[in-house]
Parts: sequence; structure tokens; C-alpha cells
Amino acid sequence: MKPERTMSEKLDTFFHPRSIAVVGASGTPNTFGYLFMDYLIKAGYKGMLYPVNPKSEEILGFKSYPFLKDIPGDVDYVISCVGAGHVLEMIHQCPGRNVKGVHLFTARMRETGDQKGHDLEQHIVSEAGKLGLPLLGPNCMGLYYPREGISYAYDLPEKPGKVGGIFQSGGTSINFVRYAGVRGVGFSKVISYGNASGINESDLLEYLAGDDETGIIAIYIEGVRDGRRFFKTLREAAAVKPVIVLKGGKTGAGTRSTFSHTASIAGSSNTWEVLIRQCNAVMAADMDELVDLAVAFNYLPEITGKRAGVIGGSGGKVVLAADECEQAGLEVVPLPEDVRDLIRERAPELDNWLGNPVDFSIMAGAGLIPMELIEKMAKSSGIDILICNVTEENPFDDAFWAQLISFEINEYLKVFSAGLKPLVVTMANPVLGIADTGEWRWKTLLEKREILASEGIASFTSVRSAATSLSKLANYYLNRRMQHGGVK
Amino acid sequence: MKNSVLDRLKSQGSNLLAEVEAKEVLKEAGVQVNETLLAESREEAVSLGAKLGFPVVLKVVSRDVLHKTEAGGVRLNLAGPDQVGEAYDGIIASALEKYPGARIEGVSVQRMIGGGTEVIIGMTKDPQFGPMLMFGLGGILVEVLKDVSFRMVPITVADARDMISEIKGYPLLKGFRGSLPVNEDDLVEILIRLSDFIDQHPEIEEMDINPLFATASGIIAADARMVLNWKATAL
Repeated sequence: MKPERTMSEKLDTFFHPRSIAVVGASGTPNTFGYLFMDYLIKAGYKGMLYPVNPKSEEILGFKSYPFLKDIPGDVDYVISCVGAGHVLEMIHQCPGRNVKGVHLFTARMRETGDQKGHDLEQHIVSEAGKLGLPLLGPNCMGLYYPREGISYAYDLPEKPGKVGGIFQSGGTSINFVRYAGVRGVGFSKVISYGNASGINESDLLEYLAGDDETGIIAIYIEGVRDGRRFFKTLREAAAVKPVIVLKGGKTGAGTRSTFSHTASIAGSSNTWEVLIRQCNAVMAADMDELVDLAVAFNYLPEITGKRAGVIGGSGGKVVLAADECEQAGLEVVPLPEDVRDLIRERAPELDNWLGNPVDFSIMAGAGLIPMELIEKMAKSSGIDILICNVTEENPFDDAFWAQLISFEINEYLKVFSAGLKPLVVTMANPVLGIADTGEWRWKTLLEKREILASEGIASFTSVRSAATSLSKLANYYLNRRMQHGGVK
Repeated sequence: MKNSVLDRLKSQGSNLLAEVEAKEVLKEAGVQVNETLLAESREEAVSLGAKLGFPVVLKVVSRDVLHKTEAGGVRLNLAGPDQVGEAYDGIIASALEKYPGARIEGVSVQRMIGGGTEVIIGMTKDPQFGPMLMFGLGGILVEVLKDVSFRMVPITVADARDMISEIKGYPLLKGFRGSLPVNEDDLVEILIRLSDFIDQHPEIEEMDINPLFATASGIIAADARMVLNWKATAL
């Protein structure tokens, strides 16, 4: 007898479907029965696509079948858009079509808090369990897998990449993919898993930890099905690849009456912070940080040093940059001696004036141009990372403004491609008024961001977000290295 | 698995373990404890004090007295028979005044430990993640200062080291203003032993070892209490 396949093996089969049936498909735009069909078509799914609806002959150009059981041939993947009351009947038709797994977009079960919904969900899970059928959801968006042309929203990035996602909330996952996508991040597999009644967060984490296409895992989680297993799985996953966790619902843990001091102190501390720290996962404070961290891990190598060289900008921007770096846990070290030697040689009048962060404005007219200084900093062993600011506040007219921006970006690209030092670029991305949307300067900056992304450079919208991400990234690799080395 | 103490406590249906019983469990977990004997009378307290060697500490033993210090139930540094006798009577009187009708089993007697840094090691269960170990600076200020660190059980050696170095008071353990540094390896060893023991005993629901006297030469538990739940199973 063949040994029972592991959940990860089952998931791998489930997530590589040669055919997909959308049960409850519809020809009415903006119903989910329509959308799930259309998402797959637009994402370029190459396998067989079967709409299932007893009232239709054809949906979106595909022949429709009354029931799952009527489809001629195997169905690997089922997306259920039917009402909760029809799910059991559909589940029972799965073995006949050799179904490898079911995604229940269908909702209104346990999450309603209603006993009937709860019981129905339990029944569905237990029936699927008897059939050995992996069940994703209910109440979730399912799988976004650009390599296979599988998607659960319009216009998600088509280009695959190495960031994987496990999201308890579907909407949050869509935001994450879009926001990280415009920063050039590509995705391996992102899974919205909803109520986690069948396939749970630990199953998915274990799967992505072992998935060769996934190099980084981002998680949005509110609660766990099995805390002990999640602890073990998170620890194992973070030992092999970065796992970034955004925990929703941090407050309201509640207090209980206790006998010991330990229990009373524990009641006021955050268990999730303990868990994430102990597992060497990376805590994201909010959605913005989840995106920033995905960007950082996506582009940057294993940095374990925190001595930052900060470049560009003038006056207050430079002062703030130093504060923000230090607050984030980076060290804004004095310019190393080898860099100072160059300043003394070429622009002695700046020797006591120019420091880290480097203020470009005071270098005007000196015998040393900023870019020579950056190259020297990139070569210095006294600096671990470079944070390069784009001087979008430069005061010149349109033509000269653009010339300077391009010049800066090109120089940053040059330093980056020399491969001397990990480097990130920060560039403002302000909230614009409607009148600004036609403003070509902003458009220019966004174009520059695209160029940076395509060249493999991480860009951030503020020094604060760059510094926070870099600091957390360095902590992750530093801890991992120490754990692997076995010394502490 | 052989677990004489916990087996006996189970057969007795004990749930709240005061000092003497809690220390028996700790000994079984491999934690060094300050030998503590129960005196049921003034005379017995005096003779136990002489047997253990002065100076000694007396503490009230009663399941009804939750906060011993507040109830006047702890007397430290008692140098001889007269002081011990007086302390015995005083402890019983003030405990009964604070907790009228309390069932008092007697008074525990142990040698006074001198020197060392007072730390606390505790354990509680998180409803989602199960047992968690706590480490911090001990003594009576622990609930005010909350200078503690937590880790999920089971912990690794690296976790134990992180727990110790994470607290703000860490410099005190490294030797502060001429005091001798605490032996960190010993602390790590105790944390690991407790973690393993707790992992094997889901019936342990809560635990305080406070204070635990940490010195350069060794670590010894001076007081402890525990909550057991015989219905609990591993999460």
C-alpha cells in the first residue's frame, strides 16, 4: 500500500490544476460566479475551465454544465460560489470527477456566529475529510498563482516572483499584492484561506516553507487553529526563509483571574510578540510595513550589519534622516577614515563640515562631487548599507530639476551595479491632490521608481520606512546566522 | 513515567501547591531548593531552626493565605531560638488577623540565604499557545517593575540566553558595582530543565519560583508555588 500523502504533497497537486470548475458560475457581471471565471480568463489560465450552473448553456464563451458530475473528464480544482446550502451536494460529487481540492468562496458559515452556520461548516469539513479532499476556506478568495495564470482579482501582477503569501483576509491580500506589486515585487503563490476549517495556516506555512518557488513568506493572521503546531511550524519555516507576520487584532486579549504573579504579568503582555521573536519571524507593525518588508527582503541580500551611510537631501531632511535611522535601530556612523581621507585630499574646507548623513547642498562648488563621495562610501568597510535619497525638493526649474533627478538615479544605479554595497533608494510618494495628478514631476518620480525596480533596487517612500525595514531585515539574518552557528 | 511527587499529589487531589509541596516538585524537575521543613508548633520551629542552622526564615503555611508577606507571614534572618519562637507566634497571630478563620498548617523553616541576586522564574499557560516560561528580576517588586521576558515552551539554549539578556536588569546579573556576576550557564540550565519538565507535565498550570537566589556559585529556589490541573492534557 502506498503511504498516505502529506498535506504539503496534496496541496502541491491541488495548486497545479490541469482543470478548474467554477461551481455556481454566472453570466452576470460583478457577481462572484462571473468574476471567478473572468479572473482566470484575464490571468491567462491555460488549463480546462468548466462553468457549472444548471440554468446556463454557456458562460463567458465556455460550455456550462448543470452539475459537477456532468463534466466529461477529471476536474482538479473546484471553486465554489454556490450558497452554503448547496455545498454538501457538490462535495459528494467530487470523487466522481477525481477532484484534488475544493476552494470554498462560499461564506455565511461559522463566521456568522450562528449555531446553524457553525454546524453546517463542521459537517462539510467532516464529509470532505472522509473523502480525503483538501478544503480551502470557507469564506476566502483562494489562490493567486501567476505562474499558472490563477488569480482572484483583476490586474494583479502577471510576472511571477518569489514572495509567497498566507492571508486570513482576502481583501487584505489583494491590497498587499497590489501595493507590493507596484514596487516591483513578484509573487509565487498567495493564498487567502478564510475560516481555515480544512486547510489551516500551519498547513499553508509548512507548504510554502518547502516550496522552491517561494523565497519569502508574508502572513496576515488574526487567530490560529492550532497554536502549538503554528509555533513549531513558524519556527521551522523562519529557519529556512524569511517569514513576515502581520497580526490583526492585537488588542483585547482580555484578562483572567490568576493565582501566580507569572500569570498576572503574562495577561498584560503580548503573546504574539513573544512567539514571533522566539521563532525569529519578522513582525510587521501594519500593512505599510508588511509591504515595505516584502520589498526589502525581495531585493536585498543577507545583510547582517547595521552601519548605515545616508546620502542625499539637504538641511532638515538630512537631520531627520539621521533621527529616523537611529530610531529604527540602524547606526548612523561618522564617516569612516578612508572616506574622510578623500574629503581631506579633495575638499579640505569640508573636512569638519561634511558628515553622515551626507548633505549634498554643502558640497556645491567643492572639489569633490557627491557621486565620487558615494562611490568611496560604497567601497568603505566601515559602512554596511547605503540609503540614497532622491532630492525631489531641489529648487530648480523643470528642465534642470529633471536633469538632476535623472543624474542622481543614474549614479545610484551605477554604484548599485558595481555591486559594492547593498543599497536602497528613498523617493517621496506624497498624497496628491487632484490638481497634482497631471504634474509631470510626480510622474517622473514614478517612472524612476519603475526603472529602479526593473534594475533590482528596493525603493521606499521615506527614510523611516527604509530604515525600519533594513533594521528588521538585518536582525532576521543576524539571528538566523547565530542560530545556525549554534553560538549565542 | 516515574513521578513520585506528582503522582502522590494527584492521588491527594492537590491543586494549589504551597511552598513545601511546590519545592518537592521542583526538586524532581532538577532545581536546587532551599531545604524547607514544616513546624506545627513553636517548639518544633525552634528545634528545626537549630537543626538547619541559624539564621533561618519562617513563613506561614496555609492554603488560605495567598499573600504571605502582606499578612505578616514571613520573618527573615532569625538568629537564634528566642527569635524563632517569638516569630512563630507572631506569624500565626498576624496571619489569622489578616485572614480570619484561615486553616493554618504551621510554619515553614529554612536557612536564610545570604547574597545573590533575586530572580523569578515562572510559568503560565496561554490559551492558544500553551505553556510559557517567564524569567525576570524577582522579589516583591516583580509585579510593579514587570522586568521579565517570556518564551513558549519548549525553549532552546539560545532562547534561554535571550530570555536572560533581554531584561532591563541584565547588568545586575553581570555584576553591578562590585557584586559578583551570576553564573548564567546555571540559569540557562535551570530554564531548560524547567521547560522540559513542563513540556512533559501538562497538568502544571501555573508556577512561580520567587525568589530564586542566583549567585556566582549556584542557584537556589527560596520560595515557590504552583497550580495543578489534573484534567489538563497537552494542547
